[in-house]
Amino acid sequence: MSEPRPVLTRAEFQILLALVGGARHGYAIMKDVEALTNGALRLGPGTLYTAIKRLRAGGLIEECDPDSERRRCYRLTRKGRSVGADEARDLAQLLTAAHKRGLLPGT
Amino acid sequence: MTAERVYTRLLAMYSPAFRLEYHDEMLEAFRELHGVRSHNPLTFWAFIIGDLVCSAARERFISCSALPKRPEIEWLMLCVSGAIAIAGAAHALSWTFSYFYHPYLEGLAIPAWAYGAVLGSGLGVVQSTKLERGLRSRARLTLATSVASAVGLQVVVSFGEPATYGTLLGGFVGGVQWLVFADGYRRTATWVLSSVTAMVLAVGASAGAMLSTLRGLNPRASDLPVFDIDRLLNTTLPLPLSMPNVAVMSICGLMSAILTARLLTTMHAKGRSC
Repeated sequence: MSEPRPVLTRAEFQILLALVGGARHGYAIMKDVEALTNGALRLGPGTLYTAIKRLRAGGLIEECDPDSERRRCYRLTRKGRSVGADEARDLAQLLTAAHKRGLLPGT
Repeated sequence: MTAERVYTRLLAMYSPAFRLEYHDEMLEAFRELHGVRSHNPLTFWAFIIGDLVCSAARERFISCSALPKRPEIEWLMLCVSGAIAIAGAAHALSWTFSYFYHPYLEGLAIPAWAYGAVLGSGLGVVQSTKLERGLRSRARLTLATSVASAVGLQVVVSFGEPATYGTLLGGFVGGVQWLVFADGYRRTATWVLSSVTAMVLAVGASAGAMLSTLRGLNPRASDLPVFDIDRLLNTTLPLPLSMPNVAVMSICGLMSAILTARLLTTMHAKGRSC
């Protein structure tokens, strides 16, 4: 029987999305999330690291070798990539539904 | 005091385990953030403090819920909750009856067992929240508690003896113990001690409401003999006279615990769900 998919918060999903581009340290993730959302979502250190802790505990991300400035970096695991893709698929379906119902202008 | 030192102090809001793991990284991220965003200190600190408070509260909550469960504390908490539920149900019944009361109903007697059944149902529902093994078990527990309370209360009204009141509460305590033991708790001695404590707590929380229900809700019950726990709670009873009541309650709790301990331990050993 397959393991139930973890429920991701918005911040956690954005972190996974940021790490799709490769391993990053904490501050780089914060900047990436801000850029990805056009500044709509700004993570503080508290939100970032509590989310990182949860993602690591769930096996969605893992620590990797430190960068040149010896800062701890994180990268996606295979499970994290799969969970992130599922989440994105769900969001895409929601978006399609919103278009169909006229909640969003058609593409 | 520099911004970094202020932030370091604020990091105390997180659990020690979290700080041990992420303190340095968070400080590093804060340092970089402060470097680029501190042109408006008010906005910056509002953002940082809001982030800290929300995330620390969440982190603390998660840390607490991840702690290993202590059966003694869990059980005591359940007993207190159950006793409060009894008191609440008793008061609700009294209020309902007085609200709808009509002179036509004068002299109408509602049997004590009916109160017991209703109170027991409320209690059973509260207790069954501990059960996570399916609706069948929950329904069974609620029904058992309801029947036990109905019988117990009828016996109390019939005899008005502390021992029978203790029996009713013993049934209640036994039910809660059953739930906890089903989770795999084997230390009988601690459990017995806890049951005595819980019995006294249950008496304290429910006796007043139970008596007011019997006296106020049932017109005939106002003449019923009530035992000394009422006075005991109001401390009007001289200490030497109250001691036998406390002793009886303690013995009831002890007996209840001893009688159910073996059964529950056996159930646990067999890995049987309740």
